[in-house]
Amino acid sequence: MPVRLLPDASQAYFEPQLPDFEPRTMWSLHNAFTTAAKVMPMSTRLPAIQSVGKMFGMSSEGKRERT
Amino acid sequence: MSAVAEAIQSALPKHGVIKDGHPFFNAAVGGDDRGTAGVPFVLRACQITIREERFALRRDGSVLFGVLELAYGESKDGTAALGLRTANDKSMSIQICAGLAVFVCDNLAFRGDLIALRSKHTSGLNIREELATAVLRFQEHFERLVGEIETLKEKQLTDVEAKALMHDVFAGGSHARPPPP
Repeated sequence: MPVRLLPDASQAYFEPQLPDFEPRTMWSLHNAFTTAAKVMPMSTRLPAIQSVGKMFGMSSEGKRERT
Repeated sequence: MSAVAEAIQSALPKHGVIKDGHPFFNAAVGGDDRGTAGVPFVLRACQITIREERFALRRDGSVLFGVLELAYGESKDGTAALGLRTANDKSMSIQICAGLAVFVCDNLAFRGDLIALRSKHTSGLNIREELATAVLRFQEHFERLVGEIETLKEKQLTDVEAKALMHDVFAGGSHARPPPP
């Protein structure tokens, strides 16, 4: 994820606009990243979201690492 | 011509890189002239409807990215999304990944695992068989994704943990650590 999106991701998590993401959970944080990523072109957005997913344990690789 | 193929065809001329069509792009996402191959055909064969499709080409026109929102696995959170990328410059095989299109905010979540077709730019490649296998694996990955999202919802974060994760994501992985257990 480009660092320039850090303020947007931070705001989306700590000052959520949607009640669904008010709970301070990993799912809300994940959505903060994907919200911030909306401004990215699809060609970089998809790999970025995948990378975030991997860091949040949404991959078989991550599961192997944690066991 | 399928809507997918039309989207590709309409996107191509402005890039001007490829003059004689995109047989591999078409094989991957648009199917042949009769519409009997490609991801949309295989999804239909699995009785999965495409609700919405978006495509983009990399600037040099060599890599196609796509997101297909599907009428599959719908829950209160969202519906299944299939991410796809493929190249016509032999730099990668056809790759798909399982995702969720989140209803409430129109966000996309994708698993980190790519489902890569075994062959790339191989003569005699049976694209239909390859894609059928890939779609089955997509369904498996999507089921895993649903479970992983439930786990993320249950995991409460302190503000310090959230800030640490933000750092790790924006640090690009070099300082990354696994999420809290």
